[in-house]
Amino acid sequence: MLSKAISRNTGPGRPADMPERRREARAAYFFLLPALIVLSLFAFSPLVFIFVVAFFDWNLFRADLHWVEAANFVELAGDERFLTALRNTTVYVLGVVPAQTLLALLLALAVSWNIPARGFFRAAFYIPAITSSVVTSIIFLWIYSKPGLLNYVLFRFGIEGPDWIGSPKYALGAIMAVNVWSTSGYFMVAFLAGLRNIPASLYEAARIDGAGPWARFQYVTVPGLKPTLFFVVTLGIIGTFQVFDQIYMMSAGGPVNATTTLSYFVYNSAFRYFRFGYAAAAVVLFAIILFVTRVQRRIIRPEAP
Amino acid sequence: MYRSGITPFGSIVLWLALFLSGCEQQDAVPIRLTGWIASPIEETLTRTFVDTFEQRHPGLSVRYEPIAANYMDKLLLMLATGTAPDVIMIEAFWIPLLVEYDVLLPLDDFIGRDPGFFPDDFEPVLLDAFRSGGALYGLPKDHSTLALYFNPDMFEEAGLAVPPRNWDEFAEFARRLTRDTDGDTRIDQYGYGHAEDLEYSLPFVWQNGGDFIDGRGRIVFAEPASVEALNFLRRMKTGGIAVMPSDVGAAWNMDAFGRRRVAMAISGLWAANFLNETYASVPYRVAVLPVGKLPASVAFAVGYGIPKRTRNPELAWRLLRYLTGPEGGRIWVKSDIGLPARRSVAQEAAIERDPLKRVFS
Repeated sequence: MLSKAISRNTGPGRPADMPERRREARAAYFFLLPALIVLSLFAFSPLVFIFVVAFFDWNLFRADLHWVEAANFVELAGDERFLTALRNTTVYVLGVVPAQTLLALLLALAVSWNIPARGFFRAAFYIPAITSSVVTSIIFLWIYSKPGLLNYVLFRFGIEGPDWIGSPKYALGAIMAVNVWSTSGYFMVAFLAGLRNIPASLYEAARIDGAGPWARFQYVTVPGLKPTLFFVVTLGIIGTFQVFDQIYMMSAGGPVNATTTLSYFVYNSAFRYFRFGYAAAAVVLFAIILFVTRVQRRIIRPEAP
Repeated sequence: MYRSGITPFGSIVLWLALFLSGCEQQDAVPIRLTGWIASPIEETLTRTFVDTFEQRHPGLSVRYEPIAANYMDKLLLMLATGTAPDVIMIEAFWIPLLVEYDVLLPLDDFIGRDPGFFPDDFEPVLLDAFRSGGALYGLPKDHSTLALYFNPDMFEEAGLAVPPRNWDEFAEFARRLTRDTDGDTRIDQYGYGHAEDLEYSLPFVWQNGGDFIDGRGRIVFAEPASVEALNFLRRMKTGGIAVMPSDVGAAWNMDAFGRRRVAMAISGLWAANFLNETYASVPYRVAVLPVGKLPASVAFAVGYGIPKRTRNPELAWRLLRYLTGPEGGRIWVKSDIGLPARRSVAQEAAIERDPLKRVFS
């Protein structure tokens, strides 16, 4: 009520409303303060700290930090394990994100139709998302083990399956599959919400215009889902870049670093070898690489968003 | 309204103050003790320890804070941040690392000032394992070498009477013990179950005259003597007569042994305890490791140390001397996880006459 009265008397941009706006801003900041304090303590300052620590040799056991200039970065550039971690992370993101997005979309479309036991399927697809990743990791360790469920099924078809997690050739793919399985249900819900937001009148209009099911999907559903798609892909990329729990539980980065992703490399450098400067440098270098590739893409394809 | 709003807050402050002062008034801060749990019996015994220690030392109290999993991960972080307990369980293997990080308190001064402790009673080899650069950083609680566990029933079925004495026999026996027991054309009993950890390949490397790291700290993995030993193990694995625990869906090699998936496995005395508790129906016998070019085994020594940044070194020492003293040794003997580190205790317990335990000494 009050705000209505104010906006009638003093519109935005007029000098008379400046003190009012300032007062409002002050109030807003006052309410933001607790969140800002917590965020700066636990998010912003560690972020800045990473850039500082990256230039030091610091192992937590000694109080003193040694300034080592760019030695950490030079070592990283020649560290085969870091390069392997970069490669594994890239494979992981490029493999998991499209697969989980597509699967989530298909699941969402499937349960949005009026099929029998729709509620059951919705719940069933969502269960992996609410199950602890430690639990799903252990279940999949059993499924993937040499005498496990997967190889039992393969044996029925006359195929002698490998030790999936114990083999450098299959370990990363096996863990990627777990990730796709466990996150698709979560993103399915996002797509379901997106589907709901597409007005039924659009479908109706398309039908009147003579569009078949595929054309309706292509020209109504897909454009309507664009914001959801952006949300799902962004969250997917963030989630896969920081994959850690499945790797920690299932393979510990092995065998022969086949599943060492960037986050696991950073964890190992910091909390196993206590090289905090080196770990921080890996984070910084990775951020730079990401930034550079983004800039590069803009230069190469200026029409990209 | 306004005034009554303040009163509860004030009362909370008052309560907090009372509570804190109440804590202060209690007897001294407890001595914190940590360790991993190799078996339930070890946890029970440690709690017995704490109780008897508190009885013997009126006014002192101990808080036992075992770390159930990822012991080293957690302990190193606690040491680095100065929050580690006052007495910590350590393995002699870790001494070089912990000394490099400079987190352990040298114990020589304490021992020198403590005439009733008798450090000469310890097995000298075990004491040396906790020494670095002339200083002593830990005291052994118990120890065990690695020995060969075998399933006598499986040996009998394969027509074998005695455990393998050398590598040739070891490989040959493993081949004869690898069988399909239920006739579905799939092998379900393997000759030998090899543990992944480095320490379990080390006896083979040492028996072949090789090493992982030589006396000067150089890595000598690639020397012919080491390569030959590792190749021997690799051939057994690729030949299908040896498996890793994961190949048969087991958590570790003695788990595979307990599930009757392997006929032979290498482990320490703690595995006997594990088999008795978890797989009581599985028969087992123990023999010294088959011998290569020379006889060798790996000794695991477990003990206690005091972190450098502990607030109460004197109190920590009183607990440590009890844990590793003659009286403490007599309690550990009952655990069957390791052999006593003190010679007097070993003599008293007649380890030499115990057919199982003497294999591990």
